[in-house]
Amino acid sequence: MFTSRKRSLAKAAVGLALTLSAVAACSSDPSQGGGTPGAGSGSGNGALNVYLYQKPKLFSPLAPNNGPDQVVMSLVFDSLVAPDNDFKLQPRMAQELPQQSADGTTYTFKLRPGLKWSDGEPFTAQDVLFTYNLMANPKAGAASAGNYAGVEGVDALAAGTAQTASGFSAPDDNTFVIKTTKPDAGIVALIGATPILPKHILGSVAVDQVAKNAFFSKPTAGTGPYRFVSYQTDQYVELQANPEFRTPVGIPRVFLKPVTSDVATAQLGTGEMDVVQVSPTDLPTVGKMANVSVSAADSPGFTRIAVNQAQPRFADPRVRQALMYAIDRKKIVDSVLGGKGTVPATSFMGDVVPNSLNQYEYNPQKAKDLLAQAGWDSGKPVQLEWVPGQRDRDTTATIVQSQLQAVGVKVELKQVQASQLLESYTGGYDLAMFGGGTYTDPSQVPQIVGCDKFYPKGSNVPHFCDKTLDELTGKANATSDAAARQDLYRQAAARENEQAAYLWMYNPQTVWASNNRVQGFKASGDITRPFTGIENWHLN
Amino acid sequence: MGTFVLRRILVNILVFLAITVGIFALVHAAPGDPVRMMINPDQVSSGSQEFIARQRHELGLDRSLPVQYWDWLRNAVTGDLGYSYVSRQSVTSAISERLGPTVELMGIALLLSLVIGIPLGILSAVRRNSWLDYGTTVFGLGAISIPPFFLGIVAIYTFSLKLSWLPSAGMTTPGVHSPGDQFKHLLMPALLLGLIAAAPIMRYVRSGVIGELGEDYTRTAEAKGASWSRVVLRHAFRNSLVPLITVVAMSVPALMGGAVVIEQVFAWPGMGQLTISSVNQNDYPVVIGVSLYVAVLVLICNLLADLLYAVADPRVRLG
Repeated sequence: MFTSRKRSLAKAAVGLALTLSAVAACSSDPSQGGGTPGAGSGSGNGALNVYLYQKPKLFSPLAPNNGPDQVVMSLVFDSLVAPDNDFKLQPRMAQELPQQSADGTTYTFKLRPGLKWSDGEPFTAQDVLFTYNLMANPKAGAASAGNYAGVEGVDALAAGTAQTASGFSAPDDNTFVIKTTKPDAGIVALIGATPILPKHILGSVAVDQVAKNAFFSKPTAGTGPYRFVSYQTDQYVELQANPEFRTPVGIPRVFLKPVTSDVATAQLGTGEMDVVQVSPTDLPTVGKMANVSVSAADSPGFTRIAVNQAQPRFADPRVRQALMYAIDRKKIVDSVLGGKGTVPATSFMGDVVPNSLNQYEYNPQKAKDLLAQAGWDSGKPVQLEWVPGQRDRDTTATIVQSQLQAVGVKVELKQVQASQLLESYTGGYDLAMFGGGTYTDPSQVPQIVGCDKFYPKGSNVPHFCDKTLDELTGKANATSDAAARQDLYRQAAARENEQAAYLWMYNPQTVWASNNRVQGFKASGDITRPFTGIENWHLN
Repeated sequence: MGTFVLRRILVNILVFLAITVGIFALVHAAPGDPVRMMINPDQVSSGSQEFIARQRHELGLDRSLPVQYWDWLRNAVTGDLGYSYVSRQSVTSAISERLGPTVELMGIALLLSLVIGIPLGILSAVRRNSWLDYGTTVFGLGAISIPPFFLGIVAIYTFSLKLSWLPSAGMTTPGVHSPGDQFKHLLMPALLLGLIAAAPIMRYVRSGVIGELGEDYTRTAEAKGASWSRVVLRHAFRNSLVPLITVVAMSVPALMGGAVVIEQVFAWPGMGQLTISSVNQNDYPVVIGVSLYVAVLVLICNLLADLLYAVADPRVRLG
């Protein structure tokens, strides 16, 4: 009796195994062909294989910014204007940068003629109008709706007294106009790169239902260089060249693969991955790989430590200046980032940074003096909070701890979860380290230092407030003359530098490794928009 | 036998209910708020307070915990486990999407572990203290004590990077649809997982068979002229089956645990990766769904083991 049962058990097991292999075989489609890849000799799929540093979730401009989603969106959707690899705004679907009225409140975009959606439908200013009204409407629930608050009529939209904002208009099919409530030169950088959504697909959906639309899981139309084919859960996003794109696209097929950085580096070695963003700590490994080139570009943001100025003991600028002098930031860049980064002295970047800034060179004695002048109580410890997991930040935290200790500031390290860090911002913290952001346009800086932008209302996490700085940035944004604006921003940068609004740690470079078969690859520092110009790449 | 089965099933349902309460309480007690989790702390500007408040309301997180639990349970009974906070996909479809790859990996690994573990265990018992026995002992100890992620990385380094025999990770080469390609991707993770699971099975079979071979009845069987293979397989091995059933039943949840790590190392798109990403993002409905899946898996394995004991050893039925 037992034997027969054992046999039937064995049969069941074999049956299960056969079923499994049959299922595996059925799920493959032989008609799609494609030879088995010889691992080691390239990926074997004849496409560009790109590393995605996290799993994508939803391809929606309405959702909160999420790096990997933005990477995919930057390939599938296009915008009126967008920053290029050097962070200069360039026209995309607009023919040129918008014309600004003399009073600085009206911005007119001329669209390129004859553009089409990837599904063949014509693209017009109506699509742009639809998208901007949607993004600005609180009912649609866009996480970034606040960015559109400076546009005329958005308040009526928010109050529900209007269906569309009067500040957005499309006088004809090739013209789109933004009108702001007051002179606002930064509005183009702030909202000009909004991905344009297809009105012919989403226009008939109720505004408060759009965010839940299935379109954002599988966008069926876009105006970017690639069109979305599929997302194989946890495996890869497949894209195909958009035949309707305004110029011919060089690489017909792209796969974006969300894997761990270890797997990505290994696959770079085997040729299964072509383009990978690598950590500076992996450079020695990657540098030894044959057929792989490494390039680096400045990132649009910086890693910083916010000092909570809501606490009286941090309100004295001398305390923050002392903390700056106490940390050897140059050495952090050299040792932790392997030299792949720069040391900022203000939140402003690029042309508007004057040469005369105080660089806060490492000077522990000066730090001690300043702390003594400010009456610093060294008996009271200070907590440094950050989200662990990025090697550069983890190491920096311990360096900061020991260097501040040396000048009499006792630091306790506290590792927290991302959501806990946000709770700390509201609930009171001492020091918080974080990074990222985009400050390549000076109009973006008031978001993190403005008196009216205290977190959670804006992104001014340290509750820094300086009336002089606010006046300078306010005046600059209202100035339409480019040279005058630049001069005002320079004064603002000098003021912010002197007040030490943040402890600016470093501006890390984004390091890319690419297989030499990818021709035309140009490194970008912005990891949310890393492949600008991908249409001009080719595969050998 | 009928009441025995019924009693076991009833007990399991009660245990299952207790597990749901436990999981629900634990998940909500964990620090971190799922809505804040959606916002990148490096880009705080992308999530206004209004956005957070509206999301909390839409996801029902502003209600009291017992109410949330009751709602969840009512839906769960009908098979609706809610929606992922992150991807807005239904939890059941998120799980079923990943179940296939995991079942494929775990099923083959389990099969491999039995195919490797049982014969090696019997062989090393029969040839006790031989080189074969020592060899399998060393292999077994290694497989049990070396962490799977390390074995995985060593395997990738050796077979993908150095020898270029196998692809390093993933379930398929994107865009390539052929059974050969799938087999190549499956080979390394399945073999590793199978070997890791085979080690304890091998050790148990070995000690079980050795124990039975020392019993009087095996000597009697031998004395009656039964062939050596019959003595070993029909008598000694069969009687060491009861502890083996326990080990195999327990190895399924353990395999699941190993699969979480192996799936991560090999970028295998299964339940393990879903588990990790949902926990990282405080995606409560998915975390609960995944935990339930594991709980059900464990309960089913235990139930099967209980029933198999009764088959293997009639004395159990009286207990």
